[in-house]
Amino acid sequence: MEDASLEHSAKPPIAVRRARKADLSRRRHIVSTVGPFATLAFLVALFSILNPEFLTRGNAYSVLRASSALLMLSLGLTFVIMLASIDLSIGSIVTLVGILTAMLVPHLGVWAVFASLALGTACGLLNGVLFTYVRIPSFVVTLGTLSLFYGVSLVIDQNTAVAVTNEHFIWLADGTLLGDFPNMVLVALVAWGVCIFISQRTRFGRAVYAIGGGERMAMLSGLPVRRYKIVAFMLSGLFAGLASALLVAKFQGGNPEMGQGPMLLDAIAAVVMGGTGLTGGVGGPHRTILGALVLAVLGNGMVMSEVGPYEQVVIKGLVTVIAVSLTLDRRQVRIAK
Amino acid sequence: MSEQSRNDTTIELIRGLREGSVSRRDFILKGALLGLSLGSLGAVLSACGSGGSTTTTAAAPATTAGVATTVGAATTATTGAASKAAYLINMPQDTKNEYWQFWSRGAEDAAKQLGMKVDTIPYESDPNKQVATIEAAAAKGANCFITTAPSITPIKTLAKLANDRQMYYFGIWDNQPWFTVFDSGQYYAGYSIPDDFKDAYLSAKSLMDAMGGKGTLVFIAGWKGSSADQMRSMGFFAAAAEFPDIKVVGGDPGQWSRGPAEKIMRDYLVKYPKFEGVYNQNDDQGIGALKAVEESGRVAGKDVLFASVDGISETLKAIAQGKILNTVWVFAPFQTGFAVARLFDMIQGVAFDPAERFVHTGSVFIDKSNADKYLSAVYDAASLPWDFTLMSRFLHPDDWDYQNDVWPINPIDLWTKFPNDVPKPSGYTFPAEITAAADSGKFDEIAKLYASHYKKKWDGDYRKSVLEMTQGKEATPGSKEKL
Repeated sequence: MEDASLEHSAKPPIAVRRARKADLSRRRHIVSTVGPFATLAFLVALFSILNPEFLTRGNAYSVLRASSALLMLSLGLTFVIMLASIDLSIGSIVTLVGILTAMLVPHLGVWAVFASLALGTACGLLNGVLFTYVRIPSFVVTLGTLSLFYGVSLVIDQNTAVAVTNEHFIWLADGTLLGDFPNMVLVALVAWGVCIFISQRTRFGRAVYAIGGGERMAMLSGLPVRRYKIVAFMLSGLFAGLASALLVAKFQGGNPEMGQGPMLLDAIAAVVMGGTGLTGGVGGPHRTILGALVLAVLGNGMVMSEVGPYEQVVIKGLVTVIAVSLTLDRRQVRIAK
Repeated sequence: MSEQSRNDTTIELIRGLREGSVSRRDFILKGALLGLSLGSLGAVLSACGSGGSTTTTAAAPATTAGVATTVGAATTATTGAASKAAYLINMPQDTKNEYWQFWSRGAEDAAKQLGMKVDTIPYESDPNKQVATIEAAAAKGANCFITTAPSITPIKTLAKLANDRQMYYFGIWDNQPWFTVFDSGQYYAGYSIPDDFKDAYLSAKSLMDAMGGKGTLVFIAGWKGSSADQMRSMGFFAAAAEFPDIKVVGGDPGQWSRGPAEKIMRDYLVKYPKFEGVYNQNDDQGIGALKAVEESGRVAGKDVLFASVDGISETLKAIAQGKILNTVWVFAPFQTGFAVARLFDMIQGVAFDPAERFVHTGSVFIDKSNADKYLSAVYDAASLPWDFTLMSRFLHPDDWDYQNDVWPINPIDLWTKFPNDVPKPSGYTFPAEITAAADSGKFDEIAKLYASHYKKKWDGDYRKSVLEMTQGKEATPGSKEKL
């Protein structure tokens, strides 16, 4: 009895507890905001020390080129993840759109890029409609369309590669519009700017944060949740289409494997490492670039530091876990499984 | 010879070189016999300024130690040049199966023998990673790379990257039709591929012969879209055309891997209740299909005969046990070792004829008679049987020897005679170097030259050369069929 009363009396007053909680919250916010920058800065500093050639203009372009397709892909995905949903089909959208784009280039020339955007958006629309109107969880819907889009691409091209020889189209990724700055990087940066504008300056952007933060509240507030969810998936498809078009230009053709491999997982990692939580409502495309750069710098730096291929896989996994732990807002993680 | 005596002799040699009483050839020959490294010999030659070789601009790195001391010291001397530092990036598709492991073993052994620095970085079937890795390696100072491509489309990008970064690139397996090294730039050093048509033709024909020329044969394709799958399909169907009483069924892609092939085979076991043979486009698929068939209760090698192409050790063991009838071994370590030697030579400034930039590398037919012998000679051996320094025309300008069948590919024949999925770009004409080589009979000349240099036949008493066994069999245009 005595002990219990002592324990009770030892508890700080509610005002102090609130102040501590607010302080902790501020610290967490600072850590999650600074985390991706710190990770990136640490990696750049580390690789610069290990390799004098790392901080050169040429190598900086290499890193930017390596991150540009990933950035485009991750940008669209960010909107979906901000809704606390997921789009697992982006790799297959890249494949399907890539094959179709490569087939359309001989007919449309450089304008085939708009067909890529339209096709990607259509794929996203299908995902969004299935998710919202058929009411299938996004994980399941996009797991299904992952297979569907890939399968359709195989049916269309019979699993063969489609080469592109149109020099104007190839220039979209391979050329330079501003000095020696690669077009592909330029396009990725423009896409990044557009996404920041959408997320910060439009009603849709603000609604995405609200829906991701609390869908029921957003619905009760009168937001057209279903419509915005569809738009988010369409944006995911649109940017996957853009990435696909640029990859077709970069690799001078489309093939059934162009969107497979580690692309999907890298895109999810880039979004999350940037600070957009899988729980939704936080982060945004302005931060996704950090995740894409961390992955590109890591890949580039490890090659330059002659890290063995197996060790690279281990280090990439460790960096991903550490970076996410620095950026994750644990208040949002209600259930950790 | 004592250390002191060797030092004295070395000093005498260097003095003789400086004074002109010792020729550069004798210097390298005697230096090599004394156990001096090629790098140190080259450094001395450079320092002494004894003659201007067009290929000598820098001494080789210290890692070249032992090259000249192991083989061919006398012939090395004929160039009289020190080797330039070579830093190789070896990029296999992955490291998950034995083919790629032996790919890397060949590349790394060859680089070691030739004194090249080497990094092995798999690209995991991701062309983005492939390009990013090459760019990073270029910044680090790498000056050459070997790789394959996930499909034909990234080839031009890789060739352009090679020229932009001034890194020599040698491609294995995939090349884009209507694209030669002369459409790219000098840093696209070359391309090699086994003769997939003949390899598949021979393996399939042997299987169909063993089936008695009748019955049902299950065909499992490889990774559709790749050059190898296209050519192997042509070879398979060319053989099938000779056996009208054999019904070919199946045709789904096993994706070069046992997992998908096993799954497909399980489906076929239901779909095609009776069949006598199974042909896979590669051995890894064959192992998967074999597992599925054995689990169905049928006896491999008796109820169902298997054949494939590639030559992985599991298949060789299964052949020795009588479970698989035959395969064709494309010698993965030879493919890469040859490519590395070619890159080494190009870095040293060795000029290659336009007719020898694209080549076929030879394969051997493996059946029960020689499977065990090849297993112990390559897979179970502590070191690979090829001397990669002997493949260098820089180190061995007179007695170079590829130690295998190698013969040139005429791109005009390759892309006009063989059907492929890439139509000829409008206005495309073959580069003048290629047409001139074809017009002057250079391709035949090179084939004869290579054959005349092939002297070290390490597997001579049990070798069954596919090139010899398919003599006179030419690829048949239009023999590519779809099931």
